[in-house]
Amino acid sequence: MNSQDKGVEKKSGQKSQNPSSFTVFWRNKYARIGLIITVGFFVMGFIGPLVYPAPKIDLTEIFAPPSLAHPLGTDYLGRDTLGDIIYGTGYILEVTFIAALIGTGIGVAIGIASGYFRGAVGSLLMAITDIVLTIPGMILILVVASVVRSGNPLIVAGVLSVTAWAGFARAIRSQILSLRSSIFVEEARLLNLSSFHIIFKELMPNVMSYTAINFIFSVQGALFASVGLYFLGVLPFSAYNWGVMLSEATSFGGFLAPSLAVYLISPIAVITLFTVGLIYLSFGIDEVFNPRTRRR
Amino acid sequence: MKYGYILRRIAILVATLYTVITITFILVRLSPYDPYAYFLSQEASMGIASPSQLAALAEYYYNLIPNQPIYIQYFQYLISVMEGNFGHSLIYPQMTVANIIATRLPWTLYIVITSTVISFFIGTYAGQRLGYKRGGKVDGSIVTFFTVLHSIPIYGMGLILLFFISLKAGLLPSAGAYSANVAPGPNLPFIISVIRHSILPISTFIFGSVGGWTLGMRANTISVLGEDYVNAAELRGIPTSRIASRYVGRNAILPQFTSLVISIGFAFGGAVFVEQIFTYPGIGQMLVTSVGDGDYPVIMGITIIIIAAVLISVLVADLTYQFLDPRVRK
Repeated sequence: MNSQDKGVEKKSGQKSQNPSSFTVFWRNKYARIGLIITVGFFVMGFIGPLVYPAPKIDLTEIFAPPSLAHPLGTDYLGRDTLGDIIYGTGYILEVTFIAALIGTGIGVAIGIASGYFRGAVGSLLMAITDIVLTIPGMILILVVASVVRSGNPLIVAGVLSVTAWAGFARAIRSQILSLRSSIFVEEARLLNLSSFHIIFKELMPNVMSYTAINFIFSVQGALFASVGLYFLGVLPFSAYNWGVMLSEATSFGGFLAPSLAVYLISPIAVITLFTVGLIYLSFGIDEVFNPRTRRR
Repeated sequence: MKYGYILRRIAILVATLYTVITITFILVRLSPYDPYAYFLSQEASMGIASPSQLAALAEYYYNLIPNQPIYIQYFQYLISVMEGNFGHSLIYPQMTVANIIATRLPWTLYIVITSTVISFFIGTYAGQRLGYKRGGKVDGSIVTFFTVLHSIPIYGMGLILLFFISLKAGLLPSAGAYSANVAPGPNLPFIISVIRHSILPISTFIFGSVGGWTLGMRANTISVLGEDYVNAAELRGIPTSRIASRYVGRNAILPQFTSLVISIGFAFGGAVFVEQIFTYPGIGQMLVTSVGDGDYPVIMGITIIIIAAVLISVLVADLTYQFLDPRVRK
């Protein structure tokens, strides 16, 4: 029996009997908004720098208010704020998505391994998970970052994933434990299928929706943490970075400038918008994968 | 109560603390970045200290004696940490790290505990009310409102409050724990000053976390309202207010306590940002300052103490939960 067959449920009164996943997804208002926002950030990050001029230092326009030339005003060196935001998007996307990939990957691997292979290995993995789970992530991230001090996206993403995987590993494990005793896994075992087959063909598809949602929340967690590390000045300052923008807004006399409100709120607003987009996207994915929560 | 469970929790606490102490040792001593070796080479390059003086300096600041095998250094470090000896600050050499922590920690505990308690009660109350009004016109927009509130990072919230309430409107002080012109002690001006200085940091925490409490309690209430025993209670003619408090509230609040356990760790992480923004003299601000200064003995000491504080609060919250839920108690 193919475990994915369970995902399609017929409902009376619907025009098409088996709406495609994307139709279900798109029908949901939250999912639509979430997808548009998330795709919008990718467009801004990867196409934006090709069409929008790079912010340049212009000492005649320090802390200029919003205008046609500078839609969000300028900073303490006369650089265009909107340009700073657009040029900083690519780095944020890189760091957050790599961090989410690492965290989710480790979480799935440890969760499945400790749920499927019970006994000594499973218990040891869960003991490690329990320990990591109780360590407050932000503190450990801050300390590791203070020693590493690198702005390389891969290294930053690695630092951000130090503790992020643990909660997810635990949740995956409990799902695997209940799936383990379900009929289709029993059947696969009776058919003498390999552990490899059972893990990748029978168990993995069943935790996919949960994994996708966790991936989205990991992106969000990495977003808050990475911008926060730059804001605190723990990671080396670099041009075009939302966290550095926030940090500079509070120094360099920025707080006294009359146009600061726009300069300060711009990075906060994009972070918030991105987060709302991600949360809404997770609502949509939840509906696609869990027919029971679909709106009737 | 189940003693096996308590023992297991305490074992995890000890193992976690041990892990954290070991991680700090590895970071300082064994990572490729090795701040300790950097410290030694710095001191040696100044040419003032003889090898024996160098060893004394290293032990004074880091609790680590150079030229010893690494496992001896590790055990020395473990033992001194367990004795509460975290060495001395590189920036303020006359102060022990333990001293610095003792003067800073109470401020952080005051902010974190006060805000967590207030946020928990406001969010739980609001969430239950919203749960009863589910599906209405107001419900959808309120959920959206809390989702957006929840999406603002804590440092964003802090900066907005600092900028608009403190710097623009001048309503509340922007820095410090109390004014310079009041004498610390149990007198009214001092207490008023402390409260005025803490309103913005505490509000930042509350705005940052109340959305989560509200949405969580709303979802719990809705799921409990669908239970048979609630319908049965209604059919028996039990007054609505009694059902709300005794049947729905009591059951819906239990998962909130589980979240309380997780939120304590988050709150200490958030303290780093909030204290930095409001220049509040807590342990989080000290951690950021030490990171900026490269003051590793202080960084390591604060990390161990913060994590120990979180672990103990989590244990207390966890045991309270065991006590509150009669199903778990048996």
